[in-house]
Amino acid sequence: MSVACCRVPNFLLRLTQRRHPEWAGRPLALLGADEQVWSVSPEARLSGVRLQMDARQAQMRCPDVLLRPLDLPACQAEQHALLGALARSGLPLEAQTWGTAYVDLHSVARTVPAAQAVCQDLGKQVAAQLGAELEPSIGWDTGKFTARAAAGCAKPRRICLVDSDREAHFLIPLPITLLPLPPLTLQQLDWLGIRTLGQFASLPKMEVWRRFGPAGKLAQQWALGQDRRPVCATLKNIPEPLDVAIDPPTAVHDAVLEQLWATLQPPLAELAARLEGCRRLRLELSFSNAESRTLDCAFVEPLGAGPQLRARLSGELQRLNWPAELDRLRVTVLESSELVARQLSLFAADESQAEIMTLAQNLAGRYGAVLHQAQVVHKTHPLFERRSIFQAVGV
Amino acid sequence: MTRLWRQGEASLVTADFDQYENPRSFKWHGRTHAIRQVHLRWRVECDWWSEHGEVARYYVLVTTDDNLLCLIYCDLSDRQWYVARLYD
Amino acid sequence: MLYTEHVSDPKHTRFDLARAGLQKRFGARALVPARAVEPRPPLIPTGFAAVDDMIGGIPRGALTLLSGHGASGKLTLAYRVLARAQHAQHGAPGQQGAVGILDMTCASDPDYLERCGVALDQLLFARPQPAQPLVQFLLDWIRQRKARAILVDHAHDLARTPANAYHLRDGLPQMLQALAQTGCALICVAELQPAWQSFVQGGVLPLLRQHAALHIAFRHERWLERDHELYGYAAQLHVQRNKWARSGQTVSILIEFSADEFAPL
Repeated sequence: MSVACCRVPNFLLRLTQRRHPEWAGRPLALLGADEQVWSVSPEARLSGVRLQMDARQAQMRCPDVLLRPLDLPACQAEQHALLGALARSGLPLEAQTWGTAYVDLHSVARTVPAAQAVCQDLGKQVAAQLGAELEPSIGWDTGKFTARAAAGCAKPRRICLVDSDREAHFLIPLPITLLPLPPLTLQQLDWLGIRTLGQFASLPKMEVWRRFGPAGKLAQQWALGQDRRPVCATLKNIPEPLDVAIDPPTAVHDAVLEQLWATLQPPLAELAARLEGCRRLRLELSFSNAESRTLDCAFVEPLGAGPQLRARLSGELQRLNWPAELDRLRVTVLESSELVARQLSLFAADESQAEIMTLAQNLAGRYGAVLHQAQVVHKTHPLFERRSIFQAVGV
Repeated sequence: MTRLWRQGEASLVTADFDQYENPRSFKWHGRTHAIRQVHLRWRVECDWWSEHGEVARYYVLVTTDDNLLCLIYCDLSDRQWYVARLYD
Repeated sequence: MLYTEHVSDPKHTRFDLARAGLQKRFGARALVPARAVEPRPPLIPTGFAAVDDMIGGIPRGALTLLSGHGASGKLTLAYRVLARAQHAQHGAPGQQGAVGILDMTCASDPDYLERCGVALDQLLFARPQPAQPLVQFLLDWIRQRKARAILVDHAHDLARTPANAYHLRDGLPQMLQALAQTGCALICVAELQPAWQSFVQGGVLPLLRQHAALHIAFRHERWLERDHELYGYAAQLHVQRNKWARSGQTVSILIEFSADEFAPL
């Protein structure tokens, strides 16, 4: 295999700042359709604003933060422009997230020199299409994960080519947060002292599988540079639609959403085991007056079984005009792809965390394991005590 | 909400209930708190597959005559009442 | 009122006489030398505009006591102060600072802390055993100079054992000195108890009142309801003592909850 990953870092932020240059240099947080932070400027990040916060939390962290809604249609247009520029090469293409896409170079370049030439062409096309402020970086390898990691290491307008011989060596020092694992898994690994791909790759395979399931096993393979996933835009085989139990017919959105959500859990869990999320799904609604509606929901980023997907589905159901009570509902996951690794800021190996660890170790020497840190792992768990976990530090 | 007791603070609810089976008062840390109003009630049943086993609770959000805002619940397995949260 | 002393000045004697007369009439504190008044330390905003307008914020390097009963907002205010204390402007530029909670009863709620704006990765919970020397533990923690603010929830936990009660009386002046030297803000939250319980448990509250640079008493005012649905409450704050400004002011705050903060989704 031969895969290039083209990445424009901070795509949403840069697009917005290009349209509003007066916002440059200010703490800025862009809110998505779900009223959560989708993109953060470095100035806001310094003050503690993070992705997936809501507006109130962002303001509490940074009272001066500029909260602005994302111009979604404009961003989608630029995203299509990026994909269009890459598609002109005629090579198979797979969009991953905002400003990031994979290109399959297997048919045109399988060696480093050949890949370099192709990647340079791709980079020039993207730069010409998007303009100076959105400079791409490109990574290349035999697998998608390493190609994406390489794109992350490359500076803007640069290419990072990873030879298959150097794959494992290249991945060793990189942060484990490159893997799209659930936050709880990443937290557990951090508490175990596993912070790099090399450390994760060196764990016993059976233990990883036993503790973290099929998703952990797959992630470990990626950490070893073994990623055999092909570059493909759509599922080859569209699965059968799932029937959502609606009995009796109802016009209550919340009840329908609950049933829909419960029905989606098994396929979403199956996708999560492959570190994938849903990119497109179809809802087929039949009403008691014999009318029917079909909703195709597409997401720029693949979504897992989390609050973002649920909020989107809730919004779609509410926006739809219901002519009568809902009699029947079928849902089909049409498209899936790799989840986005969002947790880059979770375990920032910065001075302040090191200071906390030093403090904890100093006090533990005299008082034992009395210091703890906490994390909210499930914001909407019905049992309040299960929403967060505590872990001793300094021991 | 600010205080959350992960194991639930054992409390004793006096045996008189109103016609909706809501508690009228509860005793906690040596004091009896008369319930001024029940604001929300809900039931939770979950996690039968988890290591903690099945959980079935009946939650009640109440304000008291001495200006407490509490979340108390009845554990349906042992019919004991607990204070889960105290809002401050 | 402040005045600057003039030495070797022929008008000095007349000034002394005038000063003595004023102090005799209005009290010794009516006129004090400028050098006798400590400069006010930096303040951490509470996040409640009315409170910040009134007192400026919670002082760093000093002890603050927040007392009250029931749903009166003292812990919510304390949590918001922790969040503000973590803010970049209170430390090295571009860096968030750590804060801590002495959480003896293990009842802190990380979900609510996060909703109040506290960065959990920069927050430490301390849960020593009651038998451990708590005052010494706090002193050691403060002296590490790694905490911008520490919340003691709950003040009475500092003196649950006779030994700790004794050490608190003895060690409080030392602790205040450590706070002043390190710039750490120590915030104690105290639930007002019935008189009999205070009698049995000893005078933690009077002791803290005596040494607190700022003491705010909270009182629940009323419940906030909309269409018979509870969505928050109003509380009244009364400044009982303020070392750097006048006390006795009162202000009201509103604490409102979002829909998902009561029942789960």
